[in-house]
Amino acid sequence: MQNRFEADSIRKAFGEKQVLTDVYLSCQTGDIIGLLGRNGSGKSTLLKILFGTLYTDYKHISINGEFLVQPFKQTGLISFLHQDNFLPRSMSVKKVLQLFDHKIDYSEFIKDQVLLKVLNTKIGNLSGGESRYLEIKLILNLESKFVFLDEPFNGISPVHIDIIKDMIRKQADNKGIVLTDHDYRNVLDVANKYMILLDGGIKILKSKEEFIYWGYLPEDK
Amino acid sequence: MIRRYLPYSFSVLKVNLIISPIATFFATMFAISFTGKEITLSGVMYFFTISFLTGGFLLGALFFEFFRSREYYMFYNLGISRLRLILMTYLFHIVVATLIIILASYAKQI
Repeated sequence: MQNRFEADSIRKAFGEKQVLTDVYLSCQTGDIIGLLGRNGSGKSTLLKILFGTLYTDYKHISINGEFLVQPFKQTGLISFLHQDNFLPRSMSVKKVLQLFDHKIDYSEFIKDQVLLKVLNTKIGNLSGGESRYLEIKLILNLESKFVFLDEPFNGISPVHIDIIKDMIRKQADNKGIVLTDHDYRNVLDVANKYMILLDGGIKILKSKEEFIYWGYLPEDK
Repeated sequence: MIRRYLPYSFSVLKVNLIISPIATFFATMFAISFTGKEITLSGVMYFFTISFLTGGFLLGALFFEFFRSREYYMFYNLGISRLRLILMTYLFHIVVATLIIILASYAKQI
């Protein structure tokens, strides 16, 4: 089934600083949108607003035409990977997976080669890469129509990055995905649509080369 | 369904179970020195329950807010809002407080 996420008129200011000014973003099933922007451009802020966990006075968010105030409250719509580790350090991998067992294929997780050897390990004792891998796999595999990934490649080893990119491509068969990361090479490699957040607004780019035109990448890239 | 709230509820409870006995101790000491009378087990349990359901709970929730707020995103991905977490956890605390009172009154009888 084809789903469509639309966000319009999104504005957000922190004190005097206007971070987002009338942002429009559209995503549909099959899209892997690479959203890039400089530090402090408002990428994480935007994703939190779209997920519904950051308040703003001005926003209009809809999925398949249905208006939503806080999309995360309705299960099965959007899953969101926070840029920082968010799983409780005191819980084991197995316990975390059991919490989500109504939204994931549990048997598929316990067959995963990376997770298999750490199933009984507490999250706090995992390496940074292992815990991030678990979080990404969990978020990507949750039953939802759209996935927002904030810095998914941060702290991940190259070998696992390739696995994650394959997961993203596979999940895009039945989900719309928006991802943002400073590791632009991997973002550009996996994305099939490109956007840049510049001066508080989103510009849709037709090719990777336009990132140079808009000053996100230097010319020799 | 309820088990999805438990990681948060237990986190608040752990802090509460440190705070409330300390608050109860000081409240009991204060009451003894103020009234000059002995305080009964019921009186101690009264102080504990008040602390457990007010300041102890509040400090437990604030501890999570300040030191573990990223973990809210696990609950958000489960479709649980912050307000709902707090309300369910407060209900959980009422149940725990009731059990403690029942156990205390039973212990008093024997």
